[in-house]
Amino acid sequence: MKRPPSGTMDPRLRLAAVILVLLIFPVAYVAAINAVLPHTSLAFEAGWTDQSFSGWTVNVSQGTSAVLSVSNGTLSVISTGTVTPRQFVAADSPNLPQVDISRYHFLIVSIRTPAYYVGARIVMWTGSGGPILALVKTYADTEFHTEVIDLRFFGLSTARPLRMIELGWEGVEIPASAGNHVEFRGLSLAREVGEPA
Amino acid sequence: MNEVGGTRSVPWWARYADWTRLLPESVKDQSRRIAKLFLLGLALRIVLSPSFGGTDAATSSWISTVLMTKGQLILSNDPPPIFYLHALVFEAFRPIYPATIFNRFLSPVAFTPSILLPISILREPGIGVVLTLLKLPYLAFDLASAVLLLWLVREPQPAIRAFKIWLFNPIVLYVSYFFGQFDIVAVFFVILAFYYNQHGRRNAALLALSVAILFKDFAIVLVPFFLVLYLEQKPGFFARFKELLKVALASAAPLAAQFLIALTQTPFYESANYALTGDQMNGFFGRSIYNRGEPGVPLVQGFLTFIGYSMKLTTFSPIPDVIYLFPLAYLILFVAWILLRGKDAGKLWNATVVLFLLIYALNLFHPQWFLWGQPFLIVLVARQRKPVSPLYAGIVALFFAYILYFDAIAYTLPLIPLIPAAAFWPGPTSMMRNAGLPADLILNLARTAFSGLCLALAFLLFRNVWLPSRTREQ
Repeated sequence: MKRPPSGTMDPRLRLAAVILVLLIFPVAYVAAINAVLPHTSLAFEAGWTDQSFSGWTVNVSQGTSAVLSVSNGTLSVISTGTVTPRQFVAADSPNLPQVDISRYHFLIVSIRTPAYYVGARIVMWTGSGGPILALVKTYADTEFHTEVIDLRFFGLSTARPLRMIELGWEGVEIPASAGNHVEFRGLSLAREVGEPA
Repeated sequence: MNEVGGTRSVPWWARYADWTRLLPESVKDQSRRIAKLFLLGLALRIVLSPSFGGTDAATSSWISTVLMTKGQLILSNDPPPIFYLHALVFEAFRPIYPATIFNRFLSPVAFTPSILLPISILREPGIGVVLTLLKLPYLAFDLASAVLLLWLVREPQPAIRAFKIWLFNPIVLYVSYFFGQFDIVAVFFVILAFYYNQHGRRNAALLALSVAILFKDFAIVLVPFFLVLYLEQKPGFFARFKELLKVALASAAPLAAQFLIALTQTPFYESANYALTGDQMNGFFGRSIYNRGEPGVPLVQGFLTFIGYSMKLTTFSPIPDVIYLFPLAYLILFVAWILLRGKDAGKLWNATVVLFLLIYALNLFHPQWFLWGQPFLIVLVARQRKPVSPLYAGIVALFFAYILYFDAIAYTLPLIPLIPAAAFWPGPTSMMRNAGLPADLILNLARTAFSGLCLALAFLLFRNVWLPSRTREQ
């Protein structure tokens, strides 16, 4: 059958073809791909948690002081003296049980700070070498923020396991007066669900 | 359908279905071939759009989603206007925006190192939809660029060749649809500026150049070349002064607009991790903002990468005397442009190719930056074929070796939307290292060869434009 020359197609048919090609096919394809691909939402599986914070002790910079308080699984590190910039107040964990860091390599904790001039601070200790400063952050609001820290990024491994965690805070820009406190909760060592072993 | 006097009347809307109106007269007789190429190119892009996307694509989606939802701007090296464009598209398609990803972007969960956020986003259900929405503007500007090349190249066969090379160019496809970067938006406006310049519409050319700068600062390196061309074509002091003012306005206005947006839009307080250094430390700490570990305005620092990424020569004096090679080469090219007689749009095109080749040969550059020079190189290949084609093919092949520097970011992470397990794969460079191969040596050799081919092509073009009589004699 002889094809009609270019430009003589019925305009309605042509418009329908354009809509089909430019709209319906792409939308159907994207929807199909989206449905078929095996995606999963991010989730973590804990290998170790500490909800009670029992046995944690105070550790502070020279020239300042602090107390700890635990309530409903939340650890509060409260300053009892002024904390100037670069000074810190913290809570040190007791020696941690052996956790397979190659498997459970995420340290997860939720943090709440009172103001931007208080910087939440996380330090890790291994059996060898000095302390590893893993996090110093300020937040603009007074809500809880969850921090997920990949311990492998700091060189921790089965050969160099985590021995102790220090959760605390430091002064930023201006001195923080006595009574400021930073709260921590939901501390765990975890792995991502679906992650290869 | 009504027929009057033997002629079929056509409904008013029918002309909108006549796509051949988009073609220049010179190639209208080949509309069928063009349509087939266009549809193939479109299909290829649609296949790639939901299936691939790098960490930069996920980060652009994050910034734009936060902007859309909270009206807060996450300050980054990139000029903000692109995020407004993405936010607009996301808002328009809000009903189909996947809730899982929307909630992830707005959740108060942060990661150390921060790249874990975009990597995890690329594995979320609905990522295909988000990537498609993100790439909708890229698709529009990319296809418009292809059509614009048909208008820009006046000879029919080279025009169609350029159209074809653009549609199936691995760099164009890689940057916009595999890596998921937005440089195509600025590149379209750069091509538009050259199109208007070719047609003597200077104000329109400057406006297009201005919009290009607004989306990505690189386009500003072209402005001095336009300025010299315009000044030479205008007689008289006042006419030239007016031209100078126009060009100055065209280049300053988009930069001013970027800073105004960054200053007036409420910033999103992205908490920087002060325990980290360099590229890992971005965002606010206290009241200060940090970018790549340094306090300062991210936009300025983004712009300064042009200098910081240049190769340099240091002298052995106790005074730290440093000569940057790219700014040096740029200045030499610019002086040569000033001294060149009989400047026209064609010579400006060739000088621009030389300029981009110098950038790639003498600077560290991110994969997406390689798109900037593609329209210029493609038209050259379409017009001249040998010896440009084999050189260009070599440059493209070596580009894919060069980006091994970026390891997983350039190769395996963009596969995550299609193959979620790729999030845990090592990059090809890491694999080479793990296999005991001298990865760095191989990469550096490939990089050297890449720079060599870029400089060889730049030299050929320079000789053709600046020493045409010598070229003819041979």
